[in-house]
Amino acid sequence: MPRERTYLRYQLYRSEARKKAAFATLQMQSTSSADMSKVRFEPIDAQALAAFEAWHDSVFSWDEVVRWKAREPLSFDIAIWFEQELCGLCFANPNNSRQRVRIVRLEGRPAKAHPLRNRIAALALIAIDEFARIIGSRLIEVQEPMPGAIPIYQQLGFAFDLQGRLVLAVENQVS
Amino acid sequence: MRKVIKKSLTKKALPKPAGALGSLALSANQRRFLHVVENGTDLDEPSVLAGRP
Repeated sequence: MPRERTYLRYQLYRSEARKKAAFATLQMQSTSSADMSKVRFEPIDAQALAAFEAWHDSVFSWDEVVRWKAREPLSFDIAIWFEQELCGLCFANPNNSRQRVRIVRLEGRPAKAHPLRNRIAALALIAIDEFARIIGSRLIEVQEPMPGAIPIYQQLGFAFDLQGRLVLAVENQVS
Repeated sequence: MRKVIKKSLTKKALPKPAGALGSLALSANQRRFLHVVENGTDLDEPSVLAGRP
């Protein structure tokens, strides 16, 4: 299939996954005291990269993700905002068979306090899980989890498989 | 003579994304994630969660 057509098709899937993640967090509003109506899931675009410049002590250069996005037409990128504040960035990529979506990078704003502190992994995973379901993947894998973050992934349902990979099965059954 | 067009047997069809947001159904995973979004994690979340610095 021509690369451009694949890119456009996946552009639709990316957009759909971000929209559904936003809708899911909005639905939660009725049962939660936290104001999640201000959470936005957007692509990593020029606006996100400009906001990223204000992050101090970030360990990644997120500018290079723009090149990755061009090189990997099936990839999924998320900028997690709270109103006008950029709180998290994520880049994930399915493998060739699309059976596995790998979280390549995930970073929250390196500030002691921001509105979505301790919620970045969970928010990113709502969108990644939706994307994985749309493209028919079976597993989500954290490619290089930071040791300090492993208990958080485990709280979110991840476990190490026999090959030592931190994975979560994608469920197609919904309720 | 009519030309016969053969469809590729190896071409995989992707599932269509659901259209309306109103039909959103949450998976058990997503409900678990939302629970953590609502309450925050038990642990202090490090800023770098995945990837090699």
